[in-house]
Amino acid sequence: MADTMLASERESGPERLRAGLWRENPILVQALGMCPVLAVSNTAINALTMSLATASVLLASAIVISSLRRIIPPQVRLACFVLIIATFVTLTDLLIEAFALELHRALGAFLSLIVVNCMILSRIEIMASRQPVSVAALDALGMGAGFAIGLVTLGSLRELLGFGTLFGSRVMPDNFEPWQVMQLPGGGFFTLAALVIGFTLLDRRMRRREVSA
Amino acid sequence: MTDETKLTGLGSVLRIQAVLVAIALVAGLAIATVHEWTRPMVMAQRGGQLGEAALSVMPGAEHYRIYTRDADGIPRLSGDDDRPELFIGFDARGRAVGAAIVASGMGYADTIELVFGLHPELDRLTGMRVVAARETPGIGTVITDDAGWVESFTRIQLPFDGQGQLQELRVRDNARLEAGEVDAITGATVSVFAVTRIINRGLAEWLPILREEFDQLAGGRRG
Repeated sequence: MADTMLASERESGPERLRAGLWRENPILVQALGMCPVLAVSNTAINALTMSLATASVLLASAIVISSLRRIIPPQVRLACFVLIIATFVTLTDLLIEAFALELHRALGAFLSLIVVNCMILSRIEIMASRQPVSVAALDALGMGAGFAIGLVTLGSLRELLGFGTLFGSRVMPDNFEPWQVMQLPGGGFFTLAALVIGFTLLDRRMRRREVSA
Repeated sequence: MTDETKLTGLGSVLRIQAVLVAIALVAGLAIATVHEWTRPMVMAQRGGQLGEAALSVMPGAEHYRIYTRDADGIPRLSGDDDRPELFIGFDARGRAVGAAIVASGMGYADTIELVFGLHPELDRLTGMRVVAARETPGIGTVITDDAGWVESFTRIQLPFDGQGQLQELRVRDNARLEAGEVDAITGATVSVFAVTRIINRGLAEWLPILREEFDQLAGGRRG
C-alpha cells in the first residue's frame, strides 16, 4: 500500500502533527469520536483522563501497526487493527483501574468503548497502515493532542457552568446557580455546537488574514 | 487453475492465519501480564473501600467484623482470601450497632456492587452506598452522586405484612420512606430499579439468617 502511494501524497511528520492540532482537529473539524466527547466531558478531569487514554491508545497502536504494516495481510488488516487497538485499550483500562479507581468509575464503559472510537480507526487506516513509523507517530500525537484540546475545553466549560468548579476546585462565586443541563448529555451538544461555531469563525478570520498578508 | 496459483492461495491463507495467531498470542500475553500485576492493587483498594463504605452505612460504628458464607450458606468469619459478604458494626464500647450487607446485581451498563446498612432491630435500613458501578456518566450515576437520594436510604422502613413476612421495597414517585418505598428519579429509571432490586435480593438472602443469628454473629461466635 505504502509503495503504490505517490510521493506527492506523502506528508511530512511535523506537517501531520500541526494538522491534528488545528486544521484537521478530530473534534472541532472532523467530528470524529463523538460518543465519548458528549458522554464524559461533564467535568474537566473526566475529559482529561479520557483524552489521555484515547491519545495513548492511538499513539501506541499507530506505532505498532505502522511497524507491522508490511507483515499484516491486507485481507485481514481490519481484524488485525481492531485486535491491536483492543489490546492497548484493555491495558489502559487495567492501568487506570489500578492507579485511579475513582476516575475509572467515573468513565465507566466509555473507557472500553475506545476500541470502537472512529478517530482511532480512521487514523490507523489512513496513516499508520501506509506511512513510516515516524510520520504515523507524529500524526497520532497531533491527533491525540487535538482530541485532548477539544475534549478538555469542552469538559472545562461544562464543569464551569454545570458545577461552578474547575478540576474540582470552586471558581464561580457562591451565589452562582449551576446550570443542570450542562451536566447532562444535552449540555454536551450545546457546548460542542458553541465551540465549533467559535472555532470556525476564528479559523476563517485567520485564513482571511493569511490571504491578505 | 494451475498448481502454482493453488499453492500461493494456500500459502497466503496460512500466512494470514499465522499473522493473526501471532498478534493474538502477543496481545493475550501482554494483557495477562498486566492483569496479574495490577489485580492485587485493585483488590486492595476495593477491599479498603468496601470496609469504608460499610462503616458509612452503619451509624455509630467504629469497627467491624467481616463474615462470608460457606458453600452451605452458613456465615463464618471471613479470611484474607474470602469475599466479604456481611459486616457487623460495633461502637467504641463494643456494642453491635448494625449490619451492612454486600450485594450486587446487573445495572444499566455493568454490575452494580453496593453495601446497605440494617438497624440491629432488623426493621429499617440505615444507609446505602454504591461501591462499584459503570452506569452512564451524568445519567445513571445519580445512584452515587445524588446526595439527597442516597441519604433517603437512611430512613427507609422495611415493609412487613401482617405475619411479619418481609415484603419487597418498591420504587415510587414521591415515595413514602416509612412504607418501604424508594424514590424514583426521572431519567435514571434502570439504575434506580437495579439498586432497589439488588437491595431486595440482599434482604431476602440475609434477613432470615440475621433474624436467627444476629446476636450470635455480633457475639463473635460462629454461626
